[in-house]
Amino acid sequence: MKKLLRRLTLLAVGFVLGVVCAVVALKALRSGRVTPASSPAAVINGEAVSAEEFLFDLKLLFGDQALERIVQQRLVLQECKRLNLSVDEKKLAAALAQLDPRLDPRIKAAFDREVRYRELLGKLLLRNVSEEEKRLLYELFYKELTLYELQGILALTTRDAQDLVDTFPVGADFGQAAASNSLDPASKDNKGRLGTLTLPEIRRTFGPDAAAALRKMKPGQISSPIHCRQGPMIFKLNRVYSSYAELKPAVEGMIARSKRLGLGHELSAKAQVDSLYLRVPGPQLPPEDKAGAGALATPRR
Amino acid sequence: VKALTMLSLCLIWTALCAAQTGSPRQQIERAYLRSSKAMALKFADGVASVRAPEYVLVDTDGVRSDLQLERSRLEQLFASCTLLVEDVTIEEFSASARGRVRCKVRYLTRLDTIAGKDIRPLLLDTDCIDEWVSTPDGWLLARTRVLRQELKSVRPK
Repeated sequence: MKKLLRRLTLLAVGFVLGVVCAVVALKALRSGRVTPASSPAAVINGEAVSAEEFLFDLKLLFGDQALERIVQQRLVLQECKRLNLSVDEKKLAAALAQLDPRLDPRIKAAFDREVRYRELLGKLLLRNVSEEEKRLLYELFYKELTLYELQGILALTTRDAQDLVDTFPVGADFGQAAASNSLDPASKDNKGRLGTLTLPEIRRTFGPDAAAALRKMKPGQISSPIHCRQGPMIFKLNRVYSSYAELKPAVEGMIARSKRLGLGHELSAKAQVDSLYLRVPGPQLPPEDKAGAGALATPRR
Repeated sequence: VKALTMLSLCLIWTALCAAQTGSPRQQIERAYLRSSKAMALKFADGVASVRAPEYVLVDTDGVRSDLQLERSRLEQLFASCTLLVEDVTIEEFSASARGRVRCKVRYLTRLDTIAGKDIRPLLLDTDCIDEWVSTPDGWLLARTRVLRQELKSVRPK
């Protein structure tokens, strides 16, 4: 009797485990996110490219960049731990909650790491900067930091642009007009949205006339046709962000950017990093600021 | 360092507020301070904000470059320095033709660059003639002629 009972229990446990495994495997295969190593990375006209070849190429082309990035992140996280700096878990949870719940858990984990890293890096770079100092920098540079939220329509000729302005009904949807009339392929499909830009950015992107005109406009106003680098354009100014509260992140970003290279060097100079894969000894923050190492070869004012 | 930074910022801000409608010299001194602060922050748009759109720089070889080129050079410089401290001294100040003001200026720029695991401090010593023009946006730098430029190594303290 006892033997029979033990057999039945084993059978039941085995059955349950089998069902669980089958459900997990089915889910994973249905989501299409599990790629067995034996599956080809791509099949081109019937010719398979193995996953191994793909991964080797990936490592060869971007491996050191990926590793360098990981080293940078770890150095920052270790320094934050040493200084007892921590992330706002509520803020982090809110950011993670915006992700698609069906997303691969590995991507979620990578996102979590990235948000955590950025938050801590910001805290590390701004830890000795007082509110007063930020406010003073805002007062000094608010004109260059003020943000303009824009929509635009690119026309073929100034006359076309003027006709659009003249026939534009009061209170009509500018986004709709942009979608139907704009020649700019990038913003056309996005209801003419051009983003939120500073005046120097507007000057560089659209030209000095656009910057001069937008500076004088009020939110909600639509401009006359303006000669831009892209051609004749009309703009709608949706919002202007100019208060200290609105521009505080920009002020903090400016301070943080000025300190990143120094922090990266400081952390890597005192760190012990051993790796067979790192081509460049001593990683430096930030990766996007690598360009221009030879700038001092021809120093000029 | 923090106290000194705060003090310098307060001084800049006080100078800006106190002499908003001061003499041309005061306004130009403020513009130099603003430019130096932007340099320390590696804020290229801040440095460019005291320059006129038609700004021209003429180097010691007579080669001319415009604001766009200068801005991209600045970005390169910012990307290679961990620290940038600019000290400007106006040595001569005189009115010139067409309502312009001419200043003979000495720029001493301390640049800390990365050399492997070390920091290599350099000092860029530059003598310039700067020409300022009065605009509705205030005095803007219209032309810089570099008279002399020297890059020296600084022994770290």
